[in-house]
Amino acid sequence: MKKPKQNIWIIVPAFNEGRVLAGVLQSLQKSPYQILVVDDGSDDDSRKICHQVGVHCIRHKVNLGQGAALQTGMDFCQEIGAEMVVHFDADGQHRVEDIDRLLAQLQLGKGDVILGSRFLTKEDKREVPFQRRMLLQMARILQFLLTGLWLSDAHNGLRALNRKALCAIKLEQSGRAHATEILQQIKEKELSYAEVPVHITYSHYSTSKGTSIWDAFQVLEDLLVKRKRQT
Amino acid sequence: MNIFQWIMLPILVVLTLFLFGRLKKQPWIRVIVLLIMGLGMVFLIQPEWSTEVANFLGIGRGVDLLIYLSMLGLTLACILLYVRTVELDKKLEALVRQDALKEIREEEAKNNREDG
Repeated sequence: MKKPKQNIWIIVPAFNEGRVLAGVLQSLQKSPYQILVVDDGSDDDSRKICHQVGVHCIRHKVNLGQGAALQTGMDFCQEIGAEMVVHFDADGQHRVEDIDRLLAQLQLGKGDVILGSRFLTKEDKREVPFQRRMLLQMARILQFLLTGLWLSDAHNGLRALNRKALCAIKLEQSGRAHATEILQQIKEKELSYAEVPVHITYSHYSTSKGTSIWDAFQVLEDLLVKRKRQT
Repeated sequence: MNIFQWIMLPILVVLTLFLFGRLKKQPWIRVIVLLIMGLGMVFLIQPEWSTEVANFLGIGRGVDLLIYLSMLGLTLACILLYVRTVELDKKLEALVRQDALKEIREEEAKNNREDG
């Protein structure tokens, strides 16, 4: 008999990830968790793939950005009473095995938010291309200046939230700046957090879709302008 | 008055009235728009006054003063448009999210009925 899925949801924001989405979802389906894809206005066959694979799918009629897609997923999960959620990128750079490690830390009460980090073990660190490593180090410093949290990694999309954090965090940043905004809200809402080593697979595909130096400027602009507007 | 002044003056008046009507909810921007447009009309009718004001301010030529004022006006317009765009983005986001959640609720309810 098929084991019923737990009330733990993996939120996968996806925008035009049709090339790799089926593979990512099939690997996720081996886990005992519910899978929710937030199709962020894709022009490709992402929605069809979700239905073929048999996962839950929410569709934004227009593209809003990764932060907005995650918030939509979190709103839904909150509504249906999810116990925990995991943010998981759709481009195939995360490993399904790491989800259990994040959730184990949540279940042990190590934090309300467990953040994945690619810089906690030598093996994981070695995998990060030099240029990206430099960019991420700069992002870490900026992240510290904006949030006061000194972490080993920046903008790692793999993270797990318990129910308390799920209800507390409300993302205003619709784009990539949400990753820093989550940390701001962890601080503001006095949520506890911990980092757990995770492995990132840098394929040609995921690298081409990752944050470039120009995207970093956009993130900075979003953080400064929208932060100013919120205060 | 030359032909250019006869053409530009009614355009500026209509534009002022149009902007004044559109900015009902932003009284301070209304005042700024009124001041800028009023100044534009005065300098259009009495171009030599712009040189006098420029001299008074130590800028030199009247045309330079107008260029500086235009740059300030353009910057202000850009900022206002940017703020408006951000506000519209937020409204669009809320609307799209509401619609997406409504759709999945209906879909899930349908699936639950089918599963018995």
